[in-house]
Amino acid sequence: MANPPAEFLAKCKARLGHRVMAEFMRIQIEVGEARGELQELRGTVAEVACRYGLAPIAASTHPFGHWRKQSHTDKERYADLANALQATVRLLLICSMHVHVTVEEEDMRPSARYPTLGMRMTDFCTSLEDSLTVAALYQCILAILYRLRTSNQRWRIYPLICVQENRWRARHYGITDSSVDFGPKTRCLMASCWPRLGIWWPRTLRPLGCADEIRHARENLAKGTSAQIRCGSMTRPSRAAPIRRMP
Amino acid sequence: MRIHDAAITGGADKADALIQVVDWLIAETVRDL
Repeated sequence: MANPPAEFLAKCKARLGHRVMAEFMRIQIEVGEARGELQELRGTVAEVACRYGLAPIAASTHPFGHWRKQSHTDKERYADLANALQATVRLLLICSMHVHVTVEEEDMRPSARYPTLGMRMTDFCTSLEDSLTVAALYQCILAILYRLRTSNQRWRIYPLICVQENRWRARHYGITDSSVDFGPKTRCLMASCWPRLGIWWPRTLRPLGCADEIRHARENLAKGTSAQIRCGSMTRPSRAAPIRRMP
Repeated sequence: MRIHDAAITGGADKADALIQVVDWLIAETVRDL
């Protein structure tokens, strides 16, 4: 896990413009937007990195990188962050995947940098196909919510603590264990939740043109993610995790 | 135990396994380009 030379990002920017940006750590860079663009961006970054004897990995963290060996990007904003937060940011060797979706409504653009709704809670997908699938799922779910909103309807709103329970379970067990369906108050394997979500696909797939990516999501549920395939088999927790009794 | 500590204290086998993971990450990152 090596800090790239200063001219590495400059060379990437010369070829890709504003579509590639520095992140806080010099070892992290940010790239954006869907299939063809992501292929070009990853390919160009890999090509430029190769000239310096480096190779990029699309991952939320490096398996054995050490924070003491890292330095932050030389920008005033990051220098201010480092000065204000000290060890808190120096220890941050993690990054998440950011997906931005444009919504045609003025009051739904909380991203400070782009006119979009941003999502940054998922891990970084190493596989390009998995990355595109997560982006497509987020885009489709936003389209479903937007459709409801324009029909003067909305999804049921659950207490934040309930949402956090499912988030915790997803973080620990991935797609292999159950989450809680707070409507009927039952546990639900992701594979069995999929058909219920699927009734929305015909109405959202066609205009968004992401049928291939959604198909890939279904394949992932059956075969496992690329990381699980790498490990040789779908991993399952040794015992079901406890869930508190719903009131 | 932090994973980089495991690489140090786990001996050659564990370090080799981690290097294999990084090799796979590098290959997987550019596989579908």
